[in-house]
Amino acid sequence: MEDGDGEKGAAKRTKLSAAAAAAGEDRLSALPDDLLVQVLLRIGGTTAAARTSVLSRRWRSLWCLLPELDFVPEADGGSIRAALAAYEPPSLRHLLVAAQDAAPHGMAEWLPVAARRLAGDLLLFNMAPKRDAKDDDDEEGKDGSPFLELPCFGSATKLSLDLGFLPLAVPVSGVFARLTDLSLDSVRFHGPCEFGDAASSRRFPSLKNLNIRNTQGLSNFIIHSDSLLQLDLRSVRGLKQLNVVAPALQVLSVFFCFADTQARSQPVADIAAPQLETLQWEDAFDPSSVEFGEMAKDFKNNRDCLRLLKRFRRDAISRLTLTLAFLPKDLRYFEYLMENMTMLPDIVSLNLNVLANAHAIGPSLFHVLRMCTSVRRLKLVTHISLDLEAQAVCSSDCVCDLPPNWKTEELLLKFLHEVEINNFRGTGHEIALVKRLFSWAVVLKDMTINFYHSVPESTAKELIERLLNVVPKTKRDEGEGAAAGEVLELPCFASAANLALDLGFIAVAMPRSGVFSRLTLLSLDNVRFHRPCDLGDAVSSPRSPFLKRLTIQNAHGLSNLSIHSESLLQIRLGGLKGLKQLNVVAPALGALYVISCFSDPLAMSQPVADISAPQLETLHWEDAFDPSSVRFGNMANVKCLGTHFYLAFGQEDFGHNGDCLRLLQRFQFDALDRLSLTLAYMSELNDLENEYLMEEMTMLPDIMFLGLTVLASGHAIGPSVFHVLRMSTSIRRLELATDIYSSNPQARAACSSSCTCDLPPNWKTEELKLAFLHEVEINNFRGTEHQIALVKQLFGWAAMLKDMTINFCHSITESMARKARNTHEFLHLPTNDIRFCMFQRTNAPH
Amino acid sequence: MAAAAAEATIDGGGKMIILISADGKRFEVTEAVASQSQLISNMIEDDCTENGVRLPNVDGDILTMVVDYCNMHAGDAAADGDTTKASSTEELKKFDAELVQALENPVLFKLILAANFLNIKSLLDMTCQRVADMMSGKTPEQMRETFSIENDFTPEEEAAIRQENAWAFDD
Repeated sequence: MEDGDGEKGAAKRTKLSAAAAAAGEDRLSALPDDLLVQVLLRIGGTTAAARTSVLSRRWRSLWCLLPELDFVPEADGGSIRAALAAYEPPSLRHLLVAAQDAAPHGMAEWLPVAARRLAGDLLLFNMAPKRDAKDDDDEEGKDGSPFLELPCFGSATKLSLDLGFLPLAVPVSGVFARLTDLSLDSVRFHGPCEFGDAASSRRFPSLKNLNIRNTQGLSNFIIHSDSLLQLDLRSVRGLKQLNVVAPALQVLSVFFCFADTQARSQPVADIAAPQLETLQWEDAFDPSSVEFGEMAKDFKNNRDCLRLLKRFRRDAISRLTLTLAFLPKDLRYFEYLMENMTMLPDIVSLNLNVLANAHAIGPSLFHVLRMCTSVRRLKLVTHISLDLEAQAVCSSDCVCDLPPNWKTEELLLKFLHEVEINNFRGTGHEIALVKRLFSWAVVLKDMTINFYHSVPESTAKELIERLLNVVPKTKRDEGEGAAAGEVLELPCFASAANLALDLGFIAVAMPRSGVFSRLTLLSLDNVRFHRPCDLGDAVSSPRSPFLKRLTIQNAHGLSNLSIHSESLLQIRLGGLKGLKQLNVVAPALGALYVISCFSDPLAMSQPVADISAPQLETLHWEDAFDPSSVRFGNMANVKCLGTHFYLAFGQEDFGHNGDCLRLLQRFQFDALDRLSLTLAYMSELNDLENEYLMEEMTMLPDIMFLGLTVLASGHAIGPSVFHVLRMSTSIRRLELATDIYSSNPQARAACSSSCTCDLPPNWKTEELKLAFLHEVEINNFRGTEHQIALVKQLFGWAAMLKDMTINFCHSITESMARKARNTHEFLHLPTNDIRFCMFQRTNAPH
Repeated sequence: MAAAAAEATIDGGGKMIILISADGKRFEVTEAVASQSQLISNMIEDDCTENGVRLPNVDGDILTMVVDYCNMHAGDAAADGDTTKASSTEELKKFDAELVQALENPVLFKLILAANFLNIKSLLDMTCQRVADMMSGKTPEQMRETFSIENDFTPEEEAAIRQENAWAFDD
């Protein structure tokens, strides 16, 4: 690109100069040097910045003013050397290189130049595909193979080298006089390595922080440093001996260095660091690659650990990190080794890593905690093996849960305020442990449980509920506040047949065990569940083997209900506030009513349900419905369907309408006997925001019997009833109820004369043949003009009508009823052989 | 600097000071807003803002933009670490990006000079980044065109420089 541009540019030069002059003066070049350097620093690397040198004389050497050179994304070694040669200032503050070197010679080209010039820090990453360190083992020691010789950086302050496992030789002489930070990552030390010696005070007099990670070929690391503050060794493979004499050292971390399986030598460590504040000794291992069978009785990690602990037993240290490990499989042939650990230092904060391999960690945790009763904070991390076998729970005859004293013996952790548990999977072992923790830690204020990432959200929620059960009531009440009050522990009614309880919202805990062996009917109304997840368990077949009818209405605290029942015939769930998930497996179930559970306006959660009920005949899903999360298995036998109410006028995206339409769509090809549909009106319609929504309902299943409930709020329901009937011309029976729920007198009053409810007007004029409609029942009839007009039309549409029953609203007065009856005489009945009945239901006879 | 600005925000957020541009326009801003300029922040600390701060290097129209910018960003330092401000921080970034992209070149350079003179690091970062973005990915020829840079090299000289810095040119 650049080469072509040179020629083309030359040809256009005169013209462009003229154009430039015309376009205005060159204000960019007029900026002072330091500002142009600020621009060059942001241009995307030193190479791009140096290209500005051909712009004009002004720009010729500007890039040399850069305080730092940045060769990212990447540049080859030759270019970097050339750049360093062209870069004029004698010292360089900052050098950043992303190399792509598979062999050492690329870096060898520029590192010596950089070593002479660098007065600040070097950050080097080798982005070349990293060769697996293990595969290179045979190459090790071959002095003939090329290696990188680290030059002596006499004035650099920080070196951070990630060499991608290129072999590195440490210089045998020279002083890194100003170096404070050295970080080596992915390095293969070449030849007999005297790195420790090199890093000691004599050669690195200012070194404060030393990090060595993922290295090979460093078997003896012996460092004597007066300046070192922090030493971090991670995966220093093949480390056999670690000697540290560092009077100023504050932090020492040793992670997976001695645990190298290939070099099974006795780990030797000797650390003299009187100022040490933090010691992190994580002898982690990977059970898939570490064979422990033959080493179990002589578990060298334990000895390391015990030795370390012994070293610190008299000290009061603020935090101790300890790792406990269990063998993956059968523990029968091994001894319980925890008792070898007889003391712990005085600690404030205990971090306990456990490689449990599905075993119960209760006994060992108890053992540890018993030795540090002054602990204030406990962090427990269960490491989970990727090995699937190890994830399974251990066999029931496993000895891991022994000795059993942890379950019975008293342990008072009177300072433990805060507990954090990570990678919680909710096994029986874990839950038992949490329970014990609560009884030991009498002043516990904070309990954090982080679930393992693969625990599904639903399981996690279930676990949370189970855990809440474990929390002592007093503690939980402190936490929740709302849950205060008495809890009714529902006993197990082992021989009761029917239980119907209206509890007035007192808190109820279902029994956690016991069989309701004769129970056939259970009805709970106005309940606050204290142990929500137990309900499903209690009503499922194992514990309620003969339960036929289950009714739960107006309940709080039931977010997850999972029912597996062979016997249940009818389930009715109404107003379960906060229900998030419903699972029903009930092969005999004939009727399921789910009413206003998921659609709780305060929660409005996505309905999640899985219903398997192949014999189901009646389904009333008067609730939020979304086929993507509500799964109905085989429901070929559904004869009666009930939906969520449908708003006749309103805003277009009204949620309930979508629920209704989606449900209708789900059953659109089914031949139903009965469909129960509810249409609703708001009291004020003249608002411009309210559209007529009936036309969005475009199909109905093939039905014989239509139950239509209209919450009319005083409006004319003719247009919407007409719309529905037009899509169900095959119906034989119509049951129409209006305003049955409305107790608001205002809602019962007729709407204003300017109301648009009576539109579109086609219902009054268009032909509609309901050729099979024999029977009509109208409930809650109040004889308003709107209603009378509708009845009139109905007679017109239903030519074969044989039976018409009208039940008056109970609150209607006798005189009004009479008036309505008289009105009937104006209806001009088409034939006289219609059986016409009128009833008035009264609440209380006068 | 951020700490100093935050301190000024808390201590003297309510007090007003007058900024006077090169062409005599006067801007009344709170000390908290003005303190985003390290220059002015230092002057406030030294108690020499009593009679207004004269900014002989900054034109009125540029100072208008600077004051707008500072008004938008007032409280940044105080809001650091406040997670509830995260969304408004996003909006602010968007505002900044739109502001700086809409600028004509001469105005952009004046804004760089003003940000540098007033020592407003975030504004200087943003404006310099804008220029760098306009340069990166372009050939030298395209850069010259974008910024009206006159090539005062002879073809021979230019060839020699390319040769000298060949490492930067051969991709």
